Amino acid sequence: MGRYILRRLFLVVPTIVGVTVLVFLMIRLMPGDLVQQISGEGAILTEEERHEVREELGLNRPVFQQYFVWMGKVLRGDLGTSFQTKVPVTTELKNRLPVTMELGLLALLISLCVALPIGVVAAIRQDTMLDYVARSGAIAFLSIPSFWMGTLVMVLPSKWWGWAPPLTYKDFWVDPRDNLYMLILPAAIMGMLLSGTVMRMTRAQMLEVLRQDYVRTAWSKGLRERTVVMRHAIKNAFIPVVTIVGLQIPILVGGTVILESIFGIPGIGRYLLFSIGSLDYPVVQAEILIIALAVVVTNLAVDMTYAYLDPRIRYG
Amino acid sequence: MSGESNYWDRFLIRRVSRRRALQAAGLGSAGLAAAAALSCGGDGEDDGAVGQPTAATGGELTPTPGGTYVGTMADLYNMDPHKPIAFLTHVFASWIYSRLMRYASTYGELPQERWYDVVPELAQEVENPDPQTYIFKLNPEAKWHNVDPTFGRQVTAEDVVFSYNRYQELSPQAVDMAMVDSVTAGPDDLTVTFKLKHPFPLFLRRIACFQDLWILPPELIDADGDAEKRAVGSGPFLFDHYDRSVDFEFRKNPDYFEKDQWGNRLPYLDVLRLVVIPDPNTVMSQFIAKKIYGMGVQPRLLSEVMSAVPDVIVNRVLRNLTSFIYFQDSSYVKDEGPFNDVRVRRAVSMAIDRDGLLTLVRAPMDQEGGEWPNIVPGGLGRPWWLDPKSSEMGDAAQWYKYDVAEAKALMEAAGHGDGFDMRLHFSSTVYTNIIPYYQVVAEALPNLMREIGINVTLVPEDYVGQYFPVTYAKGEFDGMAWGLLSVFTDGLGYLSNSFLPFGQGGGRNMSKVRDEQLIADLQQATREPDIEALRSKLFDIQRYISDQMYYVPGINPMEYTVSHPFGSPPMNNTGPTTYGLGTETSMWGWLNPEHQNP
Repeated sequence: MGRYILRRLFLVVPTIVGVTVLVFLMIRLMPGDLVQQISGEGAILTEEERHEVREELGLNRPVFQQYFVWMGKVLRGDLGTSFQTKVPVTTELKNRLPVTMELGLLALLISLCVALPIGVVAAIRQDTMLDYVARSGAIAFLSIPSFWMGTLVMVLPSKWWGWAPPLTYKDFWVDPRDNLYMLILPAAIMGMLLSGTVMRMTRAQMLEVLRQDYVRTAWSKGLRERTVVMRHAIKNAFIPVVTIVGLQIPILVGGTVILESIFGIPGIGRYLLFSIGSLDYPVVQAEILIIALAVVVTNLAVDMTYAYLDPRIRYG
Repeated sequence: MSGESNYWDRFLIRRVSRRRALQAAGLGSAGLAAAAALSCGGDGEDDGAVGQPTAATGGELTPTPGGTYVGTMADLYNMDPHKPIAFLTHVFASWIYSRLMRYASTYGELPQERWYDVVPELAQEVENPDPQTYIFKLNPEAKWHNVDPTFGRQVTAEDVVFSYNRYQELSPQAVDMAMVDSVTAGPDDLTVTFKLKHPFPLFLRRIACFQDLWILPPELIDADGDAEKRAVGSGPFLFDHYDRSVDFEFRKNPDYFEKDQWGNRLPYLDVLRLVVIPDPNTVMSQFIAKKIYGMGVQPRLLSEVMSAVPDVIVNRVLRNLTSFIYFQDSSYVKDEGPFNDVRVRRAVSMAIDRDGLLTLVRAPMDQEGGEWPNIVPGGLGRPWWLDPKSSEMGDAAQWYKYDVAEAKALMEAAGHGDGFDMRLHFSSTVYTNIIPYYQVVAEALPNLMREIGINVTLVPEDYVGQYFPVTYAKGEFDGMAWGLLSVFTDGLGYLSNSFLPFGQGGGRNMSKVRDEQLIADLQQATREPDIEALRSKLFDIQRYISDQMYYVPGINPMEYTVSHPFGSPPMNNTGPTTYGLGTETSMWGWLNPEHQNP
């Protein structure tokens, strides 16, 4: 197992390098004039002055050199300094990353709490009203875009009841009630949207497993439904489901960019959007790096989970 | 229709007559709500911040100090007010920094004839011993904020000289003060003298202008190199924090030197919190839920807001803001077609159905309002604006008429009878929330242009990354662009910035128009000592530019702002202070305890 993890970690390196190279190049291809923006929009700069500003920002070097300088710093734990705010990126991320992580975890939790039981029950009660409702719900959740749902949730309660979510984010450890009050709606929206896929996958896998010989044997032994389902079926049915959950992480990140903007949540999604618009290279690079790491590590964790769920799976 | 009018009247607390609106250049802060919608009261987290009414005079409550205002603001990209031309930076500066003079504002209704009055701010008095000398005596009570690095030190004449020199060195606006020959401190610490190269009757307006001479403390620049990392000034509010994409917070400057008519120190508010919310639907929802107390509102959403908030206060505002089409600079720099041909430019102008657009961006229940700008907007008022519909415009008035047939004939005559394809650049961010009509018109323009054979492809650009620094500030784009001209407080400001050579006073001459006759006329106007003669010269120039259509004016519509009654009425009664929101307006803001935030 240890060797497997090491091998996987080793394979992470080219993935991350690939992502960072792509982002590094693509952000530099974006239209706009960073030097002008930093110098003051109306500033009339001579070529010499422009050169000086670029020199100061390290943008005069060839791109590959800029990349290696940046990577070198990243390996030493320095994610750079924001061009716009002049604040170290790590400081900004320290404040914003936990917010997005909390939102993402809450959303994931909600999606699993909704999708797994409904998926399992829908499979057990196949072709009943419950199953039809669950399947229709799953399709509906899959079809509704998060920005539309977010806008509705923001607009309609204010119109009907004069209610809107809180304006101000409070840290969970400072004020857990207000913290959850602010995050629960966007988390629920994201969770519901994610739950569609998970619900369908759970149902499909459960149906397949329930038709396996060993499950039929369990039934024929006269075991209770609960025992058959919980002890014999679910664990095996969940292996592909876990993969799907792992693959939801990038979708989750995409969702936070939209929903953080709609609900005014100060997470990295909103900050990323702002930083892309303002051509803040160090921030965009650092954020994408972290997101890429999160996806890779989550997938690794998913693979590790297989071994727990199916003892036949051995890594080596 | 009468039913609709009654409905409207119930909500429109202060209907602005056309004449009054024209002279007022917008109803001040209500219009500013669009730029930074200020509103008062807690958001649930500051409940009970409102005190008790202190007195009643003539049935009107006197302002109650204290409390927290919550409004909205857009993200900033520069905090140093000497560096950019971005209007948001100047709005931000007005909470923190001071000018020598400012525009009039007061508690209560400000008589319309005073809306363009220049009144003292840092300067306690001004002497004008001869037309070329202005001696400012600084207010001895004026102190820098009592924080690092100024620690409450008195504002001195040397600070003004320092700020002027820095402004001249850095500001893209510095040409607005090109008439200044020298600025000297002395003979005492509180006297500063401006010597002009020639008499300039608009000098005090320029001194008060919120795009120009903000007074900054030298020690801040010495310590930080610039004013980008923190903001320390002598204005009515102390800068607490700016959390990018989250919020701004300002606290009352307890040592601020301005007082109200009862002798109370301004500002009234303890805290001013401005949240950054990019989504207009979210802003509206938070307003309806009474968590945000004032906002600029899209006309299409106005009925929605009015039905959801029965006691809402609605203000109609005619701002001194010009919208216009500008052309690729090669049209004038390299004489490249098609826009180097005046007939094509006139055709573009005649293809714009300005009345139709005004109706499009007007609230459904509103039947009038809005004007046609030339480059000077109607919102600046009759003294400076020549109405394209008036007979005073002369022959050039014909180029403003919506006449597709005539426009097509002009295109034909210019050799473009078959039309052409063209890109139209516009900002797809920031303005969307702040000036809601901008995007509506941007989306309508392709249809209007198609009528005369110009097939327009819209090119949405991010305001921060591309539109402002490149398309607008440098004029580097192809085809056409749809823009909003910065706000100035005199007609000469609009015309000089638009038509003097780029970099030599033409800070907004993004198409790089270079018309020697026009330049000479503007330079002559700049040296005109008599204000009436100056006005007459500027009217001649407006006729000329309308004939040439170097820039094609769009519309100057009514804009709508709404506020809750918890917001103090004086918030809506200041003068032409679109960028001076912090000083001219916010320092008078207070929470009305008669209308508690539930």
